[in-house]
Amino acid sequence: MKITVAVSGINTIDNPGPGAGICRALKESGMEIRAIGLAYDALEPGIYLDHIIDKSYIMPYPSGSKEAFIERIRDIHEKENLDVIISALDAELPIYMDIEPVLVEMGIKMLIPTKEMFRLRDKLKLKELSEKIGVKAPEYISCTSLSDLHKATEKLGFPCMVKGPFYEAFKATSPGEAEGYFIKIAAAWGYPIIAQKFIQGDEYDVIGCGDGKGNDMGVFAIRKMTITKLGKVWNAVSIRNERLIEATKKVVSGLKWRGGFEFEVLMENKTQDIYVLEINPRFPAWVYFPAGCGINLPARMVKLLTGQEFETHSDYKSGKLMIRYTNELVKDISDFEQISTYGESGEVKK
Amino acid sequence: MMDRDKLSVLAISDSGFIFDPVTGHSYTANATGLKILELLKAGKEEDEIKSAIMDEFEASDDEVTVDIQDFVENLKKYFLV
Amino acid sequence: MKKEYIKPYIKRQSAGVMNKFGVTYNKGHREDIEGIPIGRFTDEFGSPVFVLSEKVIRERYRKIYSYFSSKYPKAKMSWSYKTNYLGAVCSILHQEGETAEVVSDFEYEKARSLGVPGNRIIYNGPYKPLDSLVTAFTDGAMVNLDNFDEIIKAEEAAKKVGKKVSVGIRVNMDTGVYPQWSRFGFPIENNGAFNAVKRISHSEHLHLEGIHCHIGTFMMDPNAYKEAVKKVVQLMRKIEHEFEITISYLDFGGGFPSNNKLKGTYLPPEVAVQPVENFIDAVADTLLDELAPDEYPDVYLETGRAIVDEAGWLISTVDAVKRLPDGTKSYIIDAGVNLLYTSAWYNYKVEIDRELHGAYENSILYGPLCMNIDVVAESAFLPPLPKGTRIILSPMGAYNVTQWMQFIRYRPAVAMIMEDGKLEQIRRAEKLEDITGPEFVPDKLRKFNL
Repeated sequence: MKITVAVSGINTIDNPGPGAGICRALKESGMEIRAIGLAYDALEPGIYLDHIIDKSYIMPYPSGSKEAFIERIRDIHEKENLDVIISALDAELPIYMDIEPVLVEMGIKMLIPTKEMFRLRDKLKLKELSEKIGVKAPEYISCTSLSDLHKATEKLGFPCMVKGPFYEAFKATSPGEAEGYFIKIAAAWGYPIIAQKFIQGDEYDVIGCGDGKGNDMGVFAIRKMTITKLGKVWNAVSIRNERLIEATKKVVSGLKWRGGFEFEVLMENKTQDIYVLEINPRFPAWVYFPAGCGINLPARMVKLLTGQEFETHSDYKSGKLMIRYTNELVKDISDFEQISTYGESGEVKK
Repeated sequence: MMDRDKLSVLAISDSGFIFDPVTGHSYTANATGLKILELLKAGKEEDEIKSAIMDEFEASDDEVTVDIQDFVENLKKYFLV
Repeated sequence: MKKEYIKPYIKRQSAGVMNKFGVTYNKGHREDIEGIPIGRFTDEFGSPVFVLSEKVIRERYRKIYSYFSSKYPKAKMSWSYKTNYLGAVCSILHQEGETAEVVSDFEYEKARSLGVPGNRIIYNGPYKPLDSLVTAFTDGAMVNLDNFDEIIKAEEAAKKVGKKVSVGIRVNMDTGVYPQWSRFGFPIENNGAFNAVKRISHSEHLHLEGIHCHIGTFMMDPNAYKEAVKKVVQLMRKIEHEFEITISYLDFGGGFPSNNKLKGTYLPPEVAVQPVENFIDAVADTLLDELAPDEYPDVYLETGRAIVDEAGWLISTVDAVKRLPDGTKSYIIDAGVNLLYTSAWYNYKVEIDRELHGAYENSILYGPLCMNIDVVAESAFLPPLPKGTRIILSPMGAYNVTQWMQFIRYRPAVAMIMEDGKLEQIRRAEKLEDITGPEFVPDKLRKFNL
């Protein structure tokens, strides 16, 4: 049975999207998969990765109208007869959550979080989230003025973390430093700024997938070994930490999580207590790593959606290493002409 | 007189895709734009281009005059003429 | 037979902007509003012209009220005059049963002149002149006090009226949203509200009857209303217990969003803005959770924007086409920021009155004023527009016809499409006398020779 899966986030750039990794995992799953790339720009590298993506289409930005977005999917669906869409970008998830019923009517299936789950992953809702999944959250106070910040740091003590509403986080060791970061972040990202208690420990990531009914479809934990300037994991090692895996399973059962996710945590050195830092409501860019170690979550997701049997175990070995590397492809300007003029790539010649 | 040397090297595809092998820039144009570009490349003056366009398309003199100027302004912006 | 002419274009491709399906917010055109061709509005009333729909106003109101009243037994709604105080608009909502919510002496007088009885007016706002308080107390209006000085002023007014009068207090609180509107009313958190109640309870002239709050504007998160309801109910319990008074009404103000696209929001409003039902759920469900059935007070909502914004359009005309030195396409239209104060925070939906071919470009819409700030839309994705094209901007029903200013130009006509499809002028275009009428030129200034 051939299954056609459209995947977004095929921008394998220095801040990579997970799309190419998802397609590679699907291609190596043993299923007969036709992988369709959904790109937002004619230079997203995934468009040119003929060995893992069969054909790509340019999508309208999710910031445009909902109708235009649906229309484009309808066009693509007419040509490709899509079975599944795997959305892999934060910015487009809200629109997919909104139009999922329309897609279901067209016969396209998705496994994505609900709006309530999406809301809980907001940085300001960390406390609510941590209560729901029974894991600690670092104490934090949201601040909208310097006087708020002073009150907050008095309570939290130094060092403390000063974090932006969307991006950036700095460790401040004095009121002066905290103030400096506060002003810097506010100028770039606006309010509120989050002052967070500093916890001495290491950061870990866990990938998982939930079926929406509380059942876990497999998890896989790593320690980041090197990260890029943008904070993205570059090299990682698989670990087996039962407390961490238990905590991740609580995300799935406690929230009845639906879809792929990345659970970012901090483990305190002296107590080994786990603190939740963030949940990303989609597969992370390193999604191929677990697939290469026998936990092929994109394949499990597609099997679930297409009514096939799938494994749910999390049996993998610790000490597997992920080495990310860069590579160059040689293509012709006519490939670029094709995608930039017609909004879709040429068919890959087999 | 406008300098048209740069136009002569452009690789123009019927799809509206234009590649400049000297600078590496690429452009997209619509059918009317391609037509004007071909005529400029062939050394035609603005008046001749205007009548050629008006022979082929249903359009007023005023509109075409303004549009050709606008198009040439755009080429200047891209340093193509 | 000649071919159809499409304006020529050439565009350099650059990384990040090579998406031909790109910013298609509002692609498409609109030939009519509720079946009336765009040209008919401009023929009858000139350009620009605001258009409002009676049908949409009634439908939006009924949808919100019926949902609210089906969830909470003592649901009341009061029309927020500042959102749109055209007589025709207010009258529709008064016919529907809404009382009037005013925030100034002018709005108070306007409501009275439309025939709203004083005891059907809610009088809010941070500044209420003494005379207007005297009138409001005499008429029996619901007055919500904002600050301690106003409590003292209200006592003075009550003395003049010669009876003990009922008042409410406006309160503010942290509902987890930024910015917190802490400048209006008494803060719940540091006991400011409690102290205000204490002060009123000692007054010979005032009697506390209600609590009012209004937590912000264009709120995106319904959960803020849950917080507000919880905190206000807690306050109500505390003061009822301490001072043995009964609070007969709670008023949660307005602030519900419309389907307008706020600048700086990424997603389209159909996705980013939650349906109004979610906001009403937040208020009504929390009330039902927090209150026992025997203590249900009247609960007011002062919903403005969510009722009227999508009932309005502005039709305007392209007067000139310009390409700026940096290559950006721009248009000069006959409506500017003088009429569209809200363009400062919205990216309106921009539609054109006909189907046009040609390459879409991000274009700037400039207004007619001789001022650099007169930009109606910084980036509208439009095909090449010939002069004379009508541009339809929406949603336009909220705040524009109250915040517009008479700067340089006359304010245009406002038309209303009635439920039966008839077209009525509900405000004519201004004339010179409207502006010079209130002026006086001293005699010695009347003569000059040029």
